[in-house]
This record gives sequence, C-alpha cells and structure tokens, in this order.
Amino acid sequence: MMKKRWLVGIFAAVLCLQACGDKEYKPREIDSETDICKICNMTIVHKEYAGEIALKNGDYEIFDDLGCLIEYMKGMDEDDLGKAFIKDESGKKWLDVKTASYVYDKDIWTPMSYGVIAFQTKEEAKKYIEKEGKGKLLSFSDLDTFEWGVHH
Amino acid sequence: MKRIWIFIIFLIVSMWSMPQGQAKTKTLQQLIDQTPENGILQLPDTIYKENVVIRKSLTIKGSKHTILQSANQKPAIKIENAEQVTVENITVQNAHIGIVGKKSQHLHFKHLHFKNVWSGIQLYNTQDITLKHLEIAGIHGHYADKGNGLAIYNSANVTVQENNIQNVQDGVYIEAVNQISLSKNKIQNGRYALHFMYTKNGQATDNTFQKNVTGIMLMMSENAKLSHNRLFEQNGLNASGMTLFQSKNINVFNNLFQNNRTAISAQNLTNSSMKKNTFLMNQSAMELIRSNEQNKINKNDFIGNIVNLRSDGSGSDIAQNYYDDYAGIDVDDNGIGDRSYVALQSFGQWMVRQPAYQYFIESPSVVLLNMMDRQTNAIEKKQLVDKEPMMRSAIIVESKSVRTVWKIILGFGMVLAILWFWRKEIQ
Repeated sequence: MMKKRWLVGIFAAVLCLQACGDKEYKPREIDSETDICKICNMTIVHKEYAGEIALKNGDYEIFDDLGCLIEYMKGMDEDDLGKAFIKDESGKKWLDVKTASYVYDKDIWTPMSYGVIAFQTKEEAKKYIEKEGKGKLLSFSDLDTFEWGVHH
Repeated sequence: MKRIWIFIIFLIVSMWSMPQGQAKTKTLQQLIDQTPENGILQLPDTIYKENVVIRKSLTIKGSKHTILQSANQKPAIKIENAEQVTVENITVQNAHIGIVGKKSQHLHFKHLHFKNVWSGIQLYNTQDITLKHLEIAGIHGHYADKGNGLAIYNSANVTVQENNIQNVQDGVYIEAVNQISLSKNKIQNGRYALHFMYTKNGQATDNTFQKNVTGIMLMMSENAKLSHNRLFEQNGLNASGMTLFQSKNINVFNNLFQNNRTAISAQNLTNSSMKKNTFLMNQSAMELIRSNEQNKINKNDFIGNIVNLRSDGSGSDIAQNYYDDYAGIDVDDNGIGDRSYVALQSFGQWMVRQPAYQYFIESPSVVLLNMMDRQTNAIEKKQLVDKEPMMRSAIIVESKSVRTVWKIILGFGMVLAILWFWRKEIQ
C-alpha cells in the first residue's frame, strides 16, 4: 500500500514539474494559399525568406521578410512571445531569430527588399561576406536599430 | 541492274549532301551577329531552338510564325549594355524566362507572344522602355511556383500598354522604378496584377484586373495615380481590389470595384485621396488602417456592399459620398443629406482585427447587431462619419439622364407614328 502511495506521489510530482518546465516551440508549415504577412499583408510565396513567431497561447504569426518580423516584435508584449524563427540563407532551415547572425547588403533581394538574410553562426555569415565580396555583419541586437526600408 | 546502281548512288549523294544543307542554315545568334549596328533583322517563319544574347543596337522583326524556344534554363533572349533594341512579332515558348534586359536603354518589345514561360520579361537597370501588345501565359500550377509576367527593377521611364497577362505570380512587378505608366492592360488569375514596390511617379489607368488575389498591391511608393481601372472578382481568401501600404501622395479616382472581398485596403497612407470611385457589391468596400485626416475619401459611390467603411479607429476625411443604405432626408433639396451618415459598425471593426470573422458576415446575429448599431451610432461624431452624404449616386444620375433622352426620342417617334396612321385613315 505504501509503495503505491509513493508511486502516485512521484507521478504527480513529475506531472507538476513538466508543467513548470519550458515549453518547446516549433515552427509550423507555411501555406502560400492562406498565409499572409501579419505586417504588410503580402502572401508568402517566397518561403525561403519567411519568418514566424510562435506565441505562448499556441497561435502563430507569419511574416514574409525578416524586417516585418522585427517590426512586429518591437510592438509586441515580450511575455506573449514563445519563440521567433527565421529561415536561413539557404531557405531550408529554421533558425532562432535571437541567436542567428545576419548579413545586410542593398543588393541582396528579399520580398520587402530589406536586404537582410540570416545565418546560423557568425562564421557562416563571415564566409558569405567573404565569398560574395560584399555585405555587413549584423547581430540580433543590431536589428533593433537597423533602418528597415528603402535602400535603393 | 544499272538502274538500281544509279538509284543507290543517288541515295548516297543525297545523304551526303543533307548535312551540308543543314550547316548552311544560320542560327539566330549568327543572324544577330551578322546584322550591322542599328540594322533590321527580318526573320522568316522558322522555329529557333536556342538562347541568344544581344549587345548592340538592332531591330528584330519576326513573321507570323517565328518561334523561339529556349534550349536550356537561361533566358531565350538576353540583352546587355545595349543602346536601342526593338523586338517585334515573335512567339517565345517553353522558356524559363522569355527575355532579360540589363543595363540597357531604349528597349521596345511589341507584339510578342509568350507561351508556357515561368516568367515573361525581366528588366534590370534599364531606361526608356516600351512593353506593348504582349500576350503572356504562364505555366500551370499555384502562383507561388511561378515567376512574374513582367518584372522591372531599378529602371526609369517605362510604358506598359495593352498587354494581356494571365497565370503568372505578379502580372507586372515594379521595384524601385521612377516614371512608369500602365494602361489598358488585362491581367487575371495571378497573385497581384500590379505590384508596386518603392516606386515613384507611377500611373495605372484604364486597366482591367480580374480574379487575382489583389488587383493593385502598392507598397512603400510615392506619387501614384490609379484611375479608371476596373477591378472585378478579387474575392478569394485575403483578396482585395487594391491594397495600399505605407505610401504617400496616392490618388485613387474613377475606378470601378465590383465583387471584391475588400475593394480597397489602405494601411498607413499619408496625404492620399480616394475620389469618385464606384464600389459595387463588394464584401467590404474600404478598410482604413493607421489612417489620418490628411487622407480624403470623397464623392465615392457605395452601392450594394455588405460593409461600406471600416477602420481600426484612426480617422480620415470622409465627405460627400453616396451610400445606398443612408436613411436620411434632404429637406433643402441641395443634394446633400440633412444628417450625417455613420458607417461605424461594431462587426466591421472586429473584422479588421480578426479577418476570420468575415465568414459570419450575414449571419442573423450579425444582421441584428448591425441594426442595433444603426440606432445607437446615430450620435457618433468622429469615427467613420460622413457629415455630407450625397442623396444620389453619380452613376444613377448618369443612367437616368440617358434613359430620359431615349424616352423623349421614343415618345416623339410614337406620336409621329400615330399622326401618320391617323392621317392615313382620314385619307
């Protein structure tokens, strides 16, 4: 009998601890037919530049360009943010917006022509700059003060 | 036996001579290279399967059945650093991209037919461009997997006229272009018919846009005139006749919006106006987000729309529009209603914040809510209020006057006919 009580107690404790632990947020699949950018209303046809915000309430906000995602993040309540994602330069992998490194150049095309693309590491970003012979390295904190808009 | 030998020799000679005959047929690239600077190259009814590059001034004129097919993923025609190039009367088919022009000026493309292409024409850093009488039909599939019909980047002085574009991503994509005029084009079944980005001094007149996600998508642009366009049936999910985003000095006038999900969605506009447009049977006629009093909505006709105006609470200058659901009277007979029209609807405002609510738009509870709104919003003074609502629609007035003239002519004719019969009877 005592043993059973212990087992129930441990089970309840595990449940409670799980509830207290960090929730894992994952990006969701983007549908070009139905998803539009929360900021600029553009349909997401270039998924390789897309961004997503997983909200703590389980909702997702979708963005066509990193610039739109950052604009939304600036205006949102930090407590609602689960995790923000952006596609990497290859357009295949989702990256955590806060830990990614970025490269800006006015000649880099993005859906809103903001010209900023993401890389998983700073080294990858530096390699890209070296290979292309152009571009400026940016961190997540730089994006806060970056002048999003016309660079032509 | 002798005859058989002669026949065999004839066959061998024929086979021997055939490859020589083929070698004599010049490729299109060879013909281009042989044409002198500023010369005219007239092409016969031939199918060319190759990709050509033009780096000098010349005119290429095709015949009725001159066809150019791309041999690989490169553009069928590439024009680089050219001073003056005209291409006319050619069908470009089965190409990834039909024509690419870079760092060139005075490019004229007329009477070209693009079939089964991912993208029709792409122009980068070009000036003084004419794109006229082009027929562009994209590949099958979802618009996300297609290129743009015409794409123009970092260019100036562009004329896009009387083109027919369908089944592409954006009919005309315009990025960082100064001075562009688009008129009499028909664009359908794409994502955006016209997509302006960072454009200055653009003008779209007398175009027809049908069954796209959005007729005109105008973003971060300045000094645009959008007039006399017809925008029909942009009524899919997220669809709109025009979406005008973060732009200034945009004038939208004399356009017809019919059967669109949202006729105009205006977001963060500055110093812009929407005048003398007709909004006919749209789900929502006009949506105003982050607007201000510098934006003027005047002399428009709102007829048969479910929601006429909705906003996020920001103000605009709304005056002298006609609303078919206005219930006021005009005692002094000056054509302007004696009390204000209040377009404010709780449900309309909610739809701005939660677009999914549109699916409940004609549900009994929403209809009841709208009726209650009409009673309670009568005292609203600021939000979505037109203090001078028009009593008559401009289009009804026009049609009435036409009808009156016909009635007079018909009546006069009938009187003459009766007189004629009467006189005939007397005689």
